[in-house]
Amino acid sequence: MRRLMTFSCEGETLAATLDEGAGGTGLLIVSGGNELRIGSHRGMAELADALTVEGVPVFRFDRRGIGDSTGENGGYTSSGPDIAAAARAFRKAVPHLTRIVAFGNCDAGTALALHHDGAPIDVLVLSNLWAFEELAADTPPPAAIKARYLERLKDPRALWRLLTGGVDIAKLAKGLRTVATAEVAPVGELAERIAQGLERFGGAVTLLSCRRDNTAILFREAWKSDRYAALRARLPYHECDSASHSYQHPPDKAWLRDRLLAAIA
Amino acid sequence: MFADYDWARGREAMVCLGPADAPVVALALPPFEEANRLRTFAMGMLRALAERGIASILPDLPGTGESRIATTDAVLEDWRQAFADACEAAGAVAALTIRAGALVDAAAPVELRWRFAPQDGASLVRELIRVRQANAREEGTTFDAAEIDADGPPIPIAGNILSRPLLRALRAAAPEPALGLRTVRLESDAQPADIKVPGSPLWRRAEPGDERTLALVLADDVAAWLAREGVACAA
Repeated sequence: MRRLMTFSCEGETLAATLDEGAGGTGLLIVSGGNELRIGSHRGMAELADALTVEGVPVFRFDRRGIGDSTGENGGYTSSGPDIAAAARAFRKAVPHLTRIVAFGNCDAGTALALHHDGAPIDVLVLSNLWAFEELAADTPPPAAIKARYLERLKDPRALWRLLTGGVDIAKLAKGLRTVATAEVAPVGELAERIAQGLERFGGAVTLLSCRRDNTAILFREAWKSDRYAALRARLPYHECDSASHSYQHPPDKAWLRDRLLAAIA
Repeated sequence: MFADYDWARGREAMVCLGPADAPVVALALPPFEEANRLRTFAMGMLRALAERGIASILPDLPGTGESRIATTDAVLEDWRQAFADACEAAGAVAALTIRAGALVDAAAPVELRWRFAPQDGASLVRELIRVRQANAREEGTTFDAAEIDADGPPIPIAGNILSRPLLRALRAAAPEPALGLRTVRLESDAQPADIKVPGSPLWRRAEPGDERTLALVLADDVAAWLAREGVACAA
């Protein structure tokens, strides 16, 4: 049964969809970007369908300012209260629930890593973590970089498209790779805060990564650093052989489903 | 906020907003990615209408949104039937549509149709083909638009897997002429309209921009037009 419902968060009314299941471990799906709870190409609704046939209850919600929910859209950085309220609403809607696994892709994963405190969430599955520091406005353009690519990097919308699959980064000038991995300091403050968030979390964490996804490639730079050595030693890290950012293709969808079922079991 | 509606071949969900005793309008979004890009904006417009004493429904059509029917199995004629049945169930007095949503309002049992930036099916399918061809180029292959006319498996376009019959039906469809029709377009749109409003084509981007302002402008337009057409709004 698919049920549509609402719950409160900081005085606003948030919309959610519950796919019922008899299992005691539920999946809370946190949406990335400005996506609706159905996901791009209805992908999250489809994922919920695939899990609910296995008896897993699934809860998806629009955070404040997105989709059917009221309020202002503050992006992933202010979505902590929405996540906590969603987890509580999930438990209230499914009284037999004993455990919540929360899944987030891209900046939704980052939101979970940073803002899980106080949310009744037991397990995290984080995919293609967003760890990108914005290029400082006064950074001098490196000689090797073509001006138009640097212009694109300074436009937040173009940057988003670049990192979430809109452009094949491998096909751009070699200089762009230099910018992406060296000049723009991907192992920065955000990656540090993600590491701290992961260390703070009391439950199990699984990291997922699409091997040729630009966002995942950038996080991998941080993942391989000394700062992440202890986390590397204890957190499972699974790689999908794909360039897709959002598990668009059927083999990737099946891989993601299997990873989630493993975390839920 | 949510309710179900029955249509000829199933049951789907819909959003319901506004005062209990108010006249009801029904909204249809365009299909596929534009629905994702426009839903937040459209809900803003419907909430603004509620503040102006006008109730509304936003039905998920079969094979869209939270429907259990896959996008691959969506049928244009089902969209039209379901939208009409939702209008009937809610007692709607007007159909509001955005972009290619205008392709589903013909069968609605309403005398008033309001269309924002209506798009015909040929234009919609041309855009879908362009996206498909751009993806093919990135993958080092090509896509021949004639594929749509041949029998074969559904075609993946920007993540949505669209059946060939649906693409053909969309390509042949156009917003139907109607009495009681009001057309609104952006100032940057050269096509004919009853009124043009300032703003940018927010269906082309996922990031919210000036959508709140435009939502209020359009809600004011709908409310004023309904009043002129003799539809009394709830106090």
